[in-house]
Amino acid sequence: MRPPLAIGRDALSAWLGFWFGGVPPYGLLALMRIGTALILLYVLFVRAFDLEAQFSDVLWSDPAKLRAIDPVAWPFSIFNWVDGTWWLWSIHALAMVVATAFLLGVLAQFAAALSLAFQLSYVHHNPIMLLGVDALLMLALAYLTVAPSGKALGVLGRLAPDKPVYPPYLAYLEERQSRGVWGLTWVGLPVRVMQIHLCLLYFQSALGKLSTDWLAGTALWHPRLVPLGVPYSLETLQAQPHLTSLITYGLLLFELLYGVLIWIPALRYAVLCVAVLVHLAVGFAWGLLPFNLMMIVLNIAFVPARHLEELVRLARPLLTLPWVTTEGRH
Amino acid sequence: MRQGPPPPLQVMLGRLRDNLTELWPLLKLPLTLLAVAHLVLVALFPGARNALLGTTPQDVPDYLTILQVGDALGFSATHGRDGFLVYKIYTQNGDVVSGTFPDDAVAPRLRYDRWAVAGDAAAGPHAELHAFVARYVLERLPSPPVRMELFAAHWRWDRNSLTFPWPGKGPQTALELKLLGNYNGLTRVWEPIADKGRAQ
Repeated sequence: MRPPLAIGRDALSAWLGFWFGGVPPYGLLALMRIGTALILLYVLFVRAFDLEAQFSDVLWSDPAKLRAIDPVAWPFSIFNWVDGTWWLWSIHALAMVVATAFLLGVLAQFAAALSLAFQLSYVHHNPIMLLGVDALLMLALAYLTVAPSGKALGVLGRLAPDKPVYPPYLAYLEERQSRGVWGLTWVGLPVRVMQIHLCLLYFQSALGKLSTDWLAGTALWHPRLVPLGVPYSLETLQAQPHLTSLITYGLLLFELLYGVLIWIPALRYAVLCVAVLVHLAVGFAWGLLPFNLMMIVLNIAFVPARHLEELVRLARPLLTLPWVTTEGRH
Repeated sequence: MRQGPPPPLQVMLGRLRDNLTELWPLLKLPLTLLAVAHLVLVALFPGARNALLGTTPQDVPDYLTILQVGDALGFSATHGRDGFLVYKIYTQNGDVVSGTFPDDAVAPRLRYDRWAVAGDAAAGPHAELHAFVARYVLERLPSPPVRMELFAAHWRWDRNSLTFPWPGKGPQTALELKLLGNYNGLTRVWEPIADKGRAQ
């Protein structure tokens, strides 16, 4: 007689296998991990310029007043446990070390969970400095905490199933694929939820844009759009009203229809190409590159897993670090 | 289960040496990346604060630079953020200087955006935050001022007049200022304006 828990687990695995069968998306998750980690490291590095001004007890960090301004604020923060500049910098340095471990795929899920805790700590310690890119980072980190993103393209690996872990080896850890208690099909679940979440994000963004400015095609005329050192002059664009209207309506339509068109297999790559082009254009034109690159990283979730797995396998000989000697280890 | 006697010290030291030797290639990649990233960022932002050493090349933070009166005041293109602070300082030698919080020259853009959301929040109806900002500005002045005025600034978009780039209808004409409070340098008292004068 099998225990009820095992029966329930098998039933759930069978149900998930029905939806998420096929190739486990280890390469896909690894690419998302690397993209997320690089952007996270950049955000942390830029935050270091103003760390004391934004988080020490100078101006913005009176927790009671900040919570009064932002009712969403939640009193959890690692920074509330310590006091003093030395601790502030120590925690920030630790956050960067953890983000580096996440990038290299060292204890990837653990590093993702810790990075998420650090990000939440920054946000809750000073909620009025929250940016869109922070929200996207936390979204990606939350999903990568429950998904095995360190099984491919990590620096810790082994050359064969019977060999010890051998650092560093930037390779595809195929021998570690089938060890999960819950089965391979579970890997697809966080990816699928992430895909649905991304569709909702685009749709929510489109709903937010259904205002007078966007429906009239004049959103690019708002006076706050003063160039801030961006390479492209907005005045050149504004001199062509028809073009600005086309861009405005195009962006609106793209965000409205993304959540529908992306699920049609024949249109999958076309929609992804448009998404990449849109985010690169907006990112470069308005200087909002980290946010838009993060959106591109989230879009990786929609690339068919089998294609990315093939890509990672083909790239394996190139990714193996040539200066690593394997002599004498096996 | 371990079999046989425990390894002698020499064997253990040998293993430690091997492990450290193998660790070096692992460290080479992040160290190289760190060095390259540092050089690139120093080349891109030569005047920025050194994040690792925490050194500041200038006394006044560059997100709080004092600008000349009449300079164009820019703000982030990010959706929904169109408020910031303007302060006017009457110095002891009779000069009047004004500035914005944040300064639009702050780089890189991600850093500016973070201060921009803070400026937007400070331009809201939060009297305590206004007092905090006023104190923050005053503490960073080279000499005590005779008087300081703090304003909340908001872009007011007149869609009819801004649909086309007609002369005199540019963004500079669309700025609305609301006085938040005064600092009296003689009495050293911050006097907030009554509710009707605060930004909504």
